[in-house]
Amino acid sequence: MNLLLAAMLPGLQAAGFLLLASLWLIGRTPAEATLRPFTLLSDGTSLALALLLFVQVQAGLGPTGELLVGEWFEMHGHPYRAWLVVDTLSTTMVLLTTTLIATVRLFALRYLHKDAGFFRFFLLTQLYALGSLTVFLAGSLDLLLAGWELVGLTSVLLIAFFHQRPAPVRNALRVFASYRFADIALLLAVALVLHQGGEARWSELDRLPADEGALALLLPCLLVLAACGKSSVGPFFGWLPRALEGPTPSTAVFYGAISVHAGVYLLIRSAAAIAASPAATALLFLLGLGSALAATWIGRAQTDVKSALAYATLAQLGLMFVEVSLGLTTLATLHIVGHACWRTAEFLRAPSALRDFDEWRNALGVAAAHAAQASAAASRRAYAPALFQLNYDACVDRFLIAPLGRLARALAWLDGYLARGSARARLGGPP
Amino acid sequence: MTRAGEAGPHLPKGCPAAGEGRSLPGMPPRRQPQPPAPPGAGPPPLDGQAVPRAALAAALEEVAHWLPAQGPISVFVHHNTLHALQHLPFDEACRLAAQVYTADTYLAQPHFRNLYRQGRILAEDLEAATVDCSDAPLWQARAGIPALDRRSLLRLLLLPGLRPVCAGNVDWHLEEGDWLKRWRRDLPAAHAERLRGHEPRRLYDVCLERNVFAIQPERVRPGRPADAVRWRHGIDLDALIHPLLIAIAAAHLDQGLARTRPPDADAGLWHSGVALLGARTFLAPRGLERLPQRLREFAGLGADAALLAALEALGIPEIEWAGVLRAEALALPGWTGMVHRIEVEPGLAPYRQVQVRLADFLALRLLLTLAALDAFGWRRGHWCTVHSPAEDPQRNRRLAAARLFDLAQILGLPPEALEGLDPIELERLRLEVERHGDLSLRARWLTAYERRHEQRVLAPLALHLAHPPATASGRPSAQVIFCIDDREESLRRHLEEIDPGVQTCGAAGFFGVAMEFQGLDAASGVALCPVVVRPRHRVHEDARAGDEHSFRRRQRLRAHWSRLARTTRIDSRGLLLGWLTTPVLGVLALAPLLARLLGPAHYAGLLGRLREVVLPRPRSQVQITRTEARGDDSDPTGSHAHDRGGRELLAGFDVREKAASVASVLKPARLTERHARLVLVVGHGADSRNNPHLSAYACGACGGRGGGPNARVFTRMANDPEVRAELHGLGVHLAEDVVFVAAYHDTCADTIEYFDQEDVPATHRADLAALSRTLEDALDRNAQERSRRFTESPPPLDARAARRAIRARAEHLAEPRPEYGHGTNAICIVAPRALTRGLFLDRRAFLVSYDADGDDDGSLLAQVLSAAFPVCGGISLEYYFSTVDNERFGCGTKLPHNLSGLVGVMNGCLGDLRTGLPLQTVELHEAMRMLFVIHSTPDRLLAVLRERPALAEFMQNDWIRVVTLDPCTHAMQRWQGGHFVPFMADGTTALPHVQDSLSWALGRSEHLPLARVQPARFPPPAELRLA
Repeated sequence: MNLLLAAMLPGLQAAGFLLLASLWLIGRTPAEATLRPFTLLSDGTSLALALLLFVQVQAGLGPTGELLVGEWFEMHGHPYRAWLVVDTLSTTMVLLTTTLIATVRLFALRYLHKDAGFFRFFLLTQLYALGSLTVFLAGSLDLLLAGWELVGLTSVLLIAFFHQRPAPVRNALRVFASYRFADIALLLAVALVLHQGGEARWSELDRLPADEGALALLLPCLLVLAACGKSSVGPFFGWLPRALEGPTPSTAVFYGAISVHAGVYLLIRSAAAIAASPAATALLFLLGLGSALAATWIGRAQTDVKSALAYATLAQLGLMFVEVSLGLTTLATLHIVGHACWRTAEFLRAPSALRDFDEWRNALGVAAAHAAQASAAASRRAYAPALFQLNYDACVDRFLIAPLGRLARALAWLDGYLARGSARARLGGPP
Repeated sequence: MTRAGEAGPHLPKGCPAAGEGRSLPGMPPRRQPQPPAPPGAGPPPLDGQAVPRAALAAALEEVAHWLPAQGPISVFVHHNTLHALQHLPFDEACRLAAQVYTADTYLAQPHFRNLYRQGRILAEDLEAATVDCSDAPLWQARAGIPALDRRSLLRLLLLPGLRPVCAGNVDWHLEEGDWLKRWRRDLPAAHAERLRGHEPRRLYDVCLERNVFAIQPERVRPGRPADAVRWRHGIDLDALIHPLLIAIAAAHLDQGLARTRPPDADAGLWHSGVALLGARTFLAPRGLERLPQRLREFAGLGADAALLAALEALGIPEIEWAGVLRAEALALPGWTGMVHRIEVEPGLAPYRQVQVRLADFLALRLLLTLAALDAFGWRRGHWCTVHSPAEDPQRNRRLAAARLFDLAQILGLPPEALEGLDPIELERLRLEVERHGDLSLRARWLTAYERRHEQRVLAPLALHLAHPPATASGRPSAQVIFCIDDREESLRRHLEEIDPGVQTCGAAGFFGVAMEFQGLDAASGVALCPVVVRPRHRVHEDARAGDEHSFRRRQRLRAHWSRLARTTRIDSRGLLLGWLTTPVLGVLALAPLLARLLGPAHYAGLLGRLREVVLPRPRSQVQITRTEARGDDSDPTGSHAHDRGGRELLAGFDVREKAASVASVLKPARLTERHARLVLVVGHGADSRNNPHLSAYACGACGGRGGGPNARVFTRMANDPEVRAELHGLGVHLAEDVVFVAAYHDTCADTIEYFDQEDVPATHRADLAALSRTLEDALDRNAQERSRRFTESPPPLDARAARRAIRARAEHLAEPRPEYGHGTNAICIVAPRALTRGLFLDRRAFLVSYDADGDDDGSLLAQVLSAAFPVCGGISLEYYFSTVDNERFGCGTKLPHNLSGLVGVMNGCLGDLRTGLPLQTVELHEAMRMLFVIHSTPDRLLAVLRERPALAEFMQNDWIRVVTLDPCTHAMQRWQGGHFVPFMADGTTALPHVQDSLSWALGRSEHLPLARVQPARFPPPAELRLA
């Protein structure tokens, strides 16, 4: 029963997505009037299933833990089986996901009325929901990777929602590049685990022996890096403000709901593996704390509502990383749930900031409001990096992309030189 | 990009000289304001810097004209987007603006052709729009070649018109598109017949051979350094420097959203910006690695000196300063405009004074540009020599041939015919076609578009006036004074339909009371009057005697709640407080969110009831009378206060001022005697959720705010016996039993709230109750009529359901269209209400009550037009330009908007500030200039305008359309080409009669033509004509 429910959740989303995509491909894009009840029905059903699953697990009915769906494919005699995990953590995350996605889509049904991209938005969020549910229900790391990639891809397409303007597209590409860079770590982690002959299930990761040397050190670090990429923590925090280019509901579903919390979820799942390696734990702690402090510092200088909210999100994500590094996984789960709901609500009502400030000023009086306002920063050296977001783009462009570009051009020249040389050799001319 | 030769305020070739707008008969020709005298003409300089500084100041002033004039978004004022060009005739201004702003100033031709196909523009309109073109022949008919004259050519250029083709897509059209595969399908039948049987490719080859539209390759000089860089290296310099500029500008303009401010903010934008860019902890982005060197050079200079040095370093001669600075400023118009607006009017900054100047901002911009140019190793002035890339001459030939090919098709010239034409004839053809460029064709389409609108409005109006409907006799049961707003038109109509004894009247929404008002719940005063007026009086609202205690308790509770809310919302973005609050508050936050999405009206009702219990609003009164200054003790509020600009304000009004205000509303409408027992004065405003553009929906005559306090003050004045005594002398006779009551209409949620009901004498309570019941019915019907425009849900079943749906809409968190504001405005009728009563005007008309019979010398007309022209004209033009080019003149779609610094909205995290109206407000709008119908003779109107050049400019330069309605004969004369010509109905429009407004309107969501509402149960006609 639980398995059926757990399989139906992403299955329904997949079916819905395929239906919409097929209609779109054959040129019969559904109109708003049809899409509206379809969306409500789809979200309502998912929410009901998620709630049912949650209740089942809490009441102890039905099997829990890793449930086998079936065999995915076989290679060289090694079967790849699809596992789903049904336990408190997963069902909590699934319930949270379905609730928040339903809320945001409900918001978007009104907000995106008459927009040219109405259908595209709901198609993408359907795929996004599929990806998120796969991430949270995946019983093995490779299935999680599939959902992870889907979430990344649809997030980027939602950032570039207004694809007729250059800025959203430019920013979306940079976000995509950051995602891909970080996903290398996840891919390597999956490859490492599978190389050991296992199935990359969570239970195997928990049982990872401590004296395996390189594996025990490398695997948790790779997972930490992958989580950093998705949650924009640590070395990847630069893509955070770029994701504000999409419409308000998409930034809500992004920062608020799910996308950035998927990284924390990955860490909670791998908590045992991380705890087994002191280096990984230290890395996680330092990255989390550093990001939290940096984000608070940058957030204080941000002058627009959505950026301020984005950096506040980052600060809390850093704290969640710290909580996981200290082994407080239940606290981290609670933190995710509360934080996701809070940020979704905040992002959706971000345009109300003007009115809020006016009301507070009227209620508190001019003097008190003035006193509560910002003070001038103490020093220029402290303020400048906060305003320019720690010069992240400058560093990445000047010290990473530019050298890579030069290297690429040098290699291209070398390639051309060698090609000319070999051509001359083939034609028998002078060297 | 501008051409370097047109760096100054020069017009493109072929444009009539600036300032030669048509003048009113009897007035000297209007002249463009003279440009500032060149520096050499002034007094001798005192030191070496004075001359260039003066020139710089002149250049900056020139630049500032072109910047958007919208201030911080909490006060949104509708004004002419091209206000800087208002001294030019409309068509010239649009042409110039299209070039300078690289924007559309008319709707595109395909859009107009679509409207033609839908029947919104008829063939007669196109004929009328082309009648001024001579019908001289271009060539005579010969064997196989049909005749062609200029007028027919023009008509063919309008419809079907040449297909747009440019160097970028000509090859695609010729090779992969179907240009050469088949003839156009939209050709006139005769022309298509002549082409049948021939091959398109053959015609194209002939066109290639004849080479009529030879395109002279020209290499344009760059207007600013970024152009040169783009042409030479393909790099977008703006993408490099804007993130830094915008971050600095936002930090300095911020009104309190950020939690820290720049440390040197008080030293000004330039010094602070340079300090930030020179900080040790700042790393220059890629492409600006040379910034530190440049900063060292500019370190000690002030902003003006730095700007001069930068202009010198870029090698720009003084004559071109204005042009290059303008191009630079218009690359980031929103932020530059906001900086300038706050520099000029510091009082506009809502919460905090900021030190910003346009010169500082441009100096920073040029500094960054210099640093970026250093990366390419360009020496001083090298950028001026980089011309635009050479065009491919072969492609230009193909492009010329493609244009001729299209032209030959619409003319119906088969290949032999084209071969048979002389070079001279082809040259004549070419000259004629180039005379009618894209903009001039669009202008003609606009003329046709507006002409059809005039026919559809003025002809039915004339029919309506010829057979005036019966009016009720005797004393009206009530009189209601509304604002002139077009949204009130439908409410007035429904009110008059339900109770024929009610008379409504329209006056500018500030009701003659220009004041700075501090409400009970407000922390400081706001100006409630049109923006062109500076209020001289201060009025505040107090709790009544007996309620002071509950009032103070209320203020304390509000302060506590706000502190809590602020901590929860803002301080929880910090680290520790966030950690403590978000897990706890998180899930709770979903409840109000879902409530506002699923049941917004119920949730709002619940909150309202909660507020009544916990924070009951005390009975309040407004203090409007100025007591003589007897010292500070007896006058706690101070009989002298200061407004934000530092000007001294008088507390309250004295009797003469009160009488003048009341008379200014009642006299133009000719409400001077035989008033109803109850006169209701209704101010209006709007409230909605999640809407930074809230002020755009409020009352424009009250400076972008709600007009409820104005109504309240007006009624206090009008009920005062001393004022009534004074009014007798002014010609307004208010009987003893006439009572004024004030109300506030929320146009978004369609609710009415009455003020000071305890002051209404017992004798009139029943009248007020009856009127309020009638108004509630009228609001129900109004809600139903409004609902026909909202298409995201099926139309409501009945009036009650419509009212609930409208209420829910105003409270819905996700609604980007809480109402359409002035989104369908088209007409302004300045005439007695009796003339327009019973006409269904579809919420598209501003209705100003004015009776020419009561106005002997035209002073009342002048008074009325002083409000109507700027306010209604400004609204109309703001909507016009935001509709024709929403990306450049409007603020785009609301979806990605991000509120920045509490001064404006931008897209994403570092984008330009968007000014103008959002797409969701203008999507229904018909882009036309407003049609004024004025109850006056042409001579009277001209006499009034002759003395007021600022108003005359609107009419004279064709920014609005004016029709006069003769008070005696009801003949209509339209202002056209510099004089008034009689309006001729062309007989295509009828005036349908309907039972009531709803039967005409329900079920249709498009713009509706005029109709006459003729209920069966109307009382018998009477002679009395009331204003």
